Amino acid sequence: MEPVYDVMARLLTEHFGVPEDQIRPDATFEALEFDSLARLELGMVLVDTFGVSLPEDRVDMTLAEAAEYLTAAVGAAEAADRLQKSVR
Amino acid sequence: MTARDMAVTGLGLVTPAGVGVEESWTGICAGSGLAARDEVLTGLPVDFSCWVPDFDAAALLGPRLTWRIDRFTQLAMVAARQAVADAALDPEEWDAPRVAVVLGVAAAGGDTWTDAYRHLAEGRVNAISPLTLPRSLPNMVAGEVSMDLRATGPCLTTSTACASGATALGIARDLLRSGSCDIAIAGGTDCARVPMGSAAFYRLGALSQRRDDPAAASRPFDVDRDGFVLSEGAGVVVLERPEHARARGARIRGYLAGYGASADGYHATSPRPDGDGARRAVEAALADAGSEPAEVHHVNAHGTSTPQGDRIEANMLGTLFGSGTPPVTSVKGAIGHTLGAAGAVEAAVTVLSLERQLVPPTANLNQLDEGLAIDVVTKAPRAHRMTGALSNAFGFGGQNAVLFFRAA
Repeated sequence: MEPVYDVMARLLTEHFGVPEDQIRPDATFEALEFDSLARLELGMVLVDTFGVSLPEDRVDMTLAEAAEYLTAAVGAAEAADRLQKSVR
Repeated sequence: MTARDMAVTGLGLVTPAGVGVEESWTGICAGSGLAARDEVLTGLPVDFSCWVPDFDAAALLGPRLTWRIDRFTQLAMVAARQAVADAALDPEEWDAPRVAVVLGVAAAGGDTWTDAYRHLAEGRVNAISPLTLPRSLPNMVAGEVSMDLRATGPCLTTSTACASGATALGIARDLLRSGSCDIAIAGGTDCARVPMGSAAFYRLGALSQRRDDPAAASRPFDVDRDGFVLSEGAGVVVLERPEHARARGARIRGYLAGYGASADGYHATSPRPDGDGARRAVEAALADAGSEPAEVHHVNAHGTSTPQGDRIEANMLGTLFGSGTPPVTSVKGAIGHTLGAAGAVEAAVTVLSLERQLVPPTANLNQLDEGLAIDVVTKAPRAHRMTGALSNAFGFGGQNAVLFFRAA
């Protein structure tokens, strides 16, 4: 499966038009000029893609941290889903 | 020029003839219809339109604004930047609270609503963008342009359907006259070239059915006209009091001398058969300018290419001017009907006509409907001496706005 970081980087380029050279693991969403509306839009795109989103209060999160968070959240969501199915 | 005239110091045009004033003027003067089969409208009864070619929002406005704002706002923003640059104004230096933005729009965020409805129909509420409202609300075009240009004076959107762009120029003129601003960025924009737009106008019976030959579909005043062609675009002008323009050494491209508005008070979509509302708007514009019909040397008609609308407008002009009707044109033969942009696009073209002493042809007019007693320019631009010209705009709801321009 494609790493979450790579998928996220592609979304930032394709949906938000962030120049590729600005997308680095240590770049923060704040540095990429994601204001409140942009973060809302990002949240929607991430939910659409991964089924989970980022915590809303972490504007200083770096892309590497975001990818790490999403990877863990996706794993947790999948585990919960498996558990629910086994209970059913 | 009279003391009440406003100087036009900048023009911006984004039309199916091209991105830019010269591109638009050249394309309109070429006298060919620019409609074609439109992929966006595939499968619909009317699957053709006019659109702005090569409109690369990311290249023109930067990547951020391509997803933040709807296409109707993108078109207006590009036209507004052009107009401000043409006026040799620098938004970094102007007195921002003294700069007004007044933009007209009829349909507004068609692209955005189309996306949202699709997600809703699929039951995916969470896929609807949180930016749906900031992108699509009609007022956001003036709001976004004010942010882009750092213009913090009065900021308004006018909505009088297909007269919206002309109404915007009239309201901007009033703001200048009242002293509410020193500079007004005024115009109109629209992009209803979406499936819902085409389907809705089709159901009204307003669109041309010429599927076999889209380029010839929009044919104002032609005996075979059968409806208008959906289009998109934006037109923006910069208006100033003449003394303000002269004080900063601006080039004055023409004068907005008169504005007249009226309502038919008659029918939701049909103009009054006797043209009374339209005629009163023309007369009000001339009275406002302190002018007589004899001072009108050219009319940029509303002329959408609908059987009824064109006949009523032509009859109204014939009654007003008698046997000596001035040369008339409709740019909609070339670029289709840009709805909320039309009044502003055509106002800008009228200023160019006065400046260049040239009346653009009405594309696709092969045989004038014999019942129409007006002199319509066809085939090629006509050189013509003129100091005054009307730009007509009539909207659904019977809302009429007419502008009278004088040459600089």
